[in-house]
Amino acid sequence: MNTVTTTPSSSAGVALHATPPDPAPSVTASGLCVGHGTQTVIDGLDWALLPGQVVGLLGRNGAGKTTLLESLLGLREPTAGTVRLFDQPVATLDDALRARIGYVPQQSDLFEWLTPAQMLGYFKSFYPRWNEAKVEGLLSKWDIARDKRIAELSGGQQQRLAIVRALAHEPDLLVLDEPVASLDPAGRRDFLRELVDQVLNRGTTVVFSTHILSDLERVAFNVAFLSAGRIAVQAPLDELLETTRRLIGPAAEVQALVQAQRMRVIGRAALDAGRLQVLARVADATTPAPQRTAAVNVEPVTLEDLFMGLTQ
Amino acid sequence: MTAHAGWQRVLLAPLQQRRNQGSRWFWPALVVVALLMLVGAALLPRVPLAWAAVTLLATLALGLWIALVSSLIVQNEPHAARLVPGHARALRRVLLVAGLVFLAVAGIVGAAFGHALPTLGATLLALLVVAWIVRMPALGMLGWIVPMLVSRASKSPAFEAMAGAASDAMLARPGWVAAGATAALLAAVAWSLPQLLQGGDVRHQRSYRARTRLRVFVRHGRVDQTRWAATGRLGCVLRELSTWPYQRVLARISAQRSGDVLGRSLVGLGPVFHWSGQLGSALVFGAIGLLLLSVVWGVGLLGAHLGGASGAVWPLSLGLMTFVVNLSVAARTALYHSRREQALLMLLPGMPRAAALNRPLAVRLLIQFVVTWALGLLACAAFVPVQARQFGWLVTLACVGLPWGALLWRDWSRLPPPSPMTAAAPVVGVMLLAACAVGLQLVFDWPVWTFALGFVWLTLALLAWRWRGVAAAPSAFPVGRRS
Amino acid sequence: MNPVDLFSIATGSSEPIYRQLVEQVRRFVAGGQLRAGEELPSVRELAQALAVNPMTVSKAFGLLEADGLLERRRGLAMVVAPQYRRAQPTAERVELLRPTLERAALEARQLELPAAQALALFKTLLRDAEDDAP
Repeated sequence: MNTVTTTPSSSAGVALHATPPDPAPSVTASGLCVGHGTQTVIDGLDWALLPGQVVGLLGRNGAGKTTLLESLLGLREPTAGTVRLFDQPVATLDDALRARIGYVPQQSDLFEWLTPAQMLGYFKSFYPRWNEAKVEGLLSKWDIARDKRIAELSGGQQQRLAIVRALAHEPDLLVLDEPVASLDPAGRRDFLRELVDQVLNRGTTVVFSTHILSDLERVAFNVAFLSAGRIAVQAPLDELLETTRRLIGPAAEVQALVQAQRMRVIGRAALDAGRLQVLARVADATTPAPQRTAAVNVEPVTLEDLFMGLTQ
Repeated sequence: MTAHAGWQRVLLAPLQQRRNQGSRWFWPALVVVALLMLVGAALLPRVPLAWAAVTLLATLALGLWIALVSSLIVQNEPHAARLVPGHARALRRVLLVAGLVFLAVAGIVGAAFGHALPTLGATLLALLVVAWIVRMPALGMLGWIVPMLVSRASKSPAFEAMAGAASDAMLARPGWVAAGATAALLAAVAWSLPQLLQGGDVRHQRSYRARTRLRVFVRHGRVDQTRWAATGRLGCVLRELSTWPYQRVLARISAQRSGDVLGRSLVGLGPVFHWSGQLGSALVFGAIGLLLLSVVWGVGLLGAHLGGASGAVWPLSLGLMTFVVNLSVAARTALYHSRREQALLMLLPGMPRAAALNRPLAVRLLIQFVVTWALGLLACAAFVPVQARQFGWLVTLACVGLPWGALLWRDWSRLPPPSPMTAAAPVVGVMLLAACAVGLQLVFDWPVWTFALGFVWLTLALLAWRWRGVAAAPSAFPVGRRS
Repeated sequence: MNPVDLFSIATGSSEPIYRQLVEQVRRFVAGGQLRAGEELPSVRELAQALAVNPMTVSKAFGLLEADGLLERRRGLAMVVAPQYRRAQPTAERVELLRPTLERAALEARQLELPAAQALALFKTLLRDAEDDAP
């Protein structure tokens, strides 16, 4: 029997309708600016993640997903703005809170001179809480050799091992940077299944960045689109798919329709011959979406359409 | 885009490579070295200026030859050699033409001094040997064993007899000697050319991969771990032996659940960085080196065989200085290459941040450096008796490397990636300082110990200056995240 | 047949996954693959099988329960509501049979069967189905 209770607040990133007061966010970024040298990658970003949310971070290559995730964990100093984790500034997190964070970086071949047994034993000595049974179970289930050097494991095995290491101390906040990039489809499904199984029972907040939209659709309840150094949209995926429509037509008609239906434009692109393509949302899930008119074509959107339209 | 002829393209490549990847310190460093040589030659008495100029020219020419050959070898990528039409041919043509140009210049210079043919022969030999050392650096590293063996063997009477007979034969028929030598050299050139720049077959691929691994190792201090198995049983055994102390330390700290978090986290940076790993490799490879030395050179411990032989001091000092400088460079590259592991370590509970991290880390790095320096000095001092005047020089020259330990104290969050200059520049600097010390000593005849003390004082001053910077800088780990 | 194997989802469509599940359950109940009173797989089991977030499955089931199609039993998996069948009017249910019958009619015409024989076969089959059903 399902033991997860879904509260309205944990499924709404940005609430479009009235909800009971949200619990304290586990991650808050306000006005975050992060730069590489002279370029600014993250520019005035505001973000809040509530406990128990599973958020997929989408963005083009080079949009700054890794930079953002590193800044959230305090591994990179922002040039402006603040990040707070569990309501403490990330630069001065105390030990108890750091024990509640798990991170899976993009490269999985870390500690390659050690064997998995050595690496996990090493990390175990630092964390107060360590679920040895879970570690053993996952290692056996994913068939990771315990006494072979990590350098000699395949890419997929290394990635799985990194995930075991992140899950072993039962974190409340799990940050994954392209965690399934080098797994084959079977491995990806397997991992996501396991991830969801392991974390949802505990109400862990999960943020992961990925390119693979189908994985995101299955696993993430909320998606956030990173574009131009900010979070363009964050919303529950279902709601986004249901309330967003793509309108294509002559610019004037499209805009008239948008205004008449009181929709909110979240992405626009000018097409040739004076036509406009617009991604717009209706006010809430209960409002019916507009039907197509003679001039304007109204189509439902897929996640890929949203990705193409919302990230530049 | 103009289409360049094959050879133009080949020659352009090193220029572009230098422009794109070269360090901005290359030309200044080259100029400084050249000036040093000129000054040194001018200072030494009984050396005519012409000779100094020739030596300078020869050194520059050799440098140019090395740069050209190494660029050509890098361009000689197996897939390009096999698949790009005319590529391998263009490379070989360029090498041949360049070689001829060098020979021509050498011939002219030799003729000006009246020794055209011997100059030509010597230049050709030098060009060949250097090209082969660039192609297979192992030759350069291990090749010195051959002259050592020969010099040892030359003490024996049988060798002297053979040498006497050979020189008699050569003096009797000079024409045959010249012809034979020429033929041999030409054959060597003909054979070398396709071997230096291969044509893309399986052997080429293997050698290219080996060179790449070596380049990665030298530049980054990082051994491709998957390849250890390819070095065979011996490689695996050596690796196990050299990482044994590290494994013991790792096992011990994995069992303890409390204690100095920073110290325990540094173990996670790997045997390349951690003192236990360095100790292990020093013991294993030191033992091997000692074995080689005793077999080849007949050297025993405590200078038993060297006795009063002062000749060993200079190469030892040189070796010691470069070793000391390489310590700081190696620490730096090891830190750079473990930056992703550092990111994970920063998330460990109990890990200090900012000044609380930087200060203890700086102290640890310095201690590691000084202890390794002292041990290196002791190891070299075992070959030189204390009473000898040269002992003072040994210690002084060892102290030349100390200020480079102060370079370890920096804003690590801004650490740039290692480049070839990272390793080369300190060596040049050390040579400069050593040359200054020697020069000043020759000119002013100060006692040797003043220089040693001077360098120590310089180190302390640098450390004091950098201490505040270290404390004020952001967290050292992960290194290199800002630029 | 294990009810878990009935379900499938397609990613990359404009229909959210929970809605796909809701529609599938509706079709199965209307089409008879899920009979009244039959137990559905648990949320966790279905989520594992489809490799989706259990919250999505839970949301789908919650909607179906609100619609009256499913019934929650304390401590056990959800079941198809037994009353649902009676709630749906015959006219609607007959319409659901239309596509299958259209195909059968087409085949009968292709085989050049007279209508009477086709209908006789259909009656026989219906009688047999009634006999098989408890």
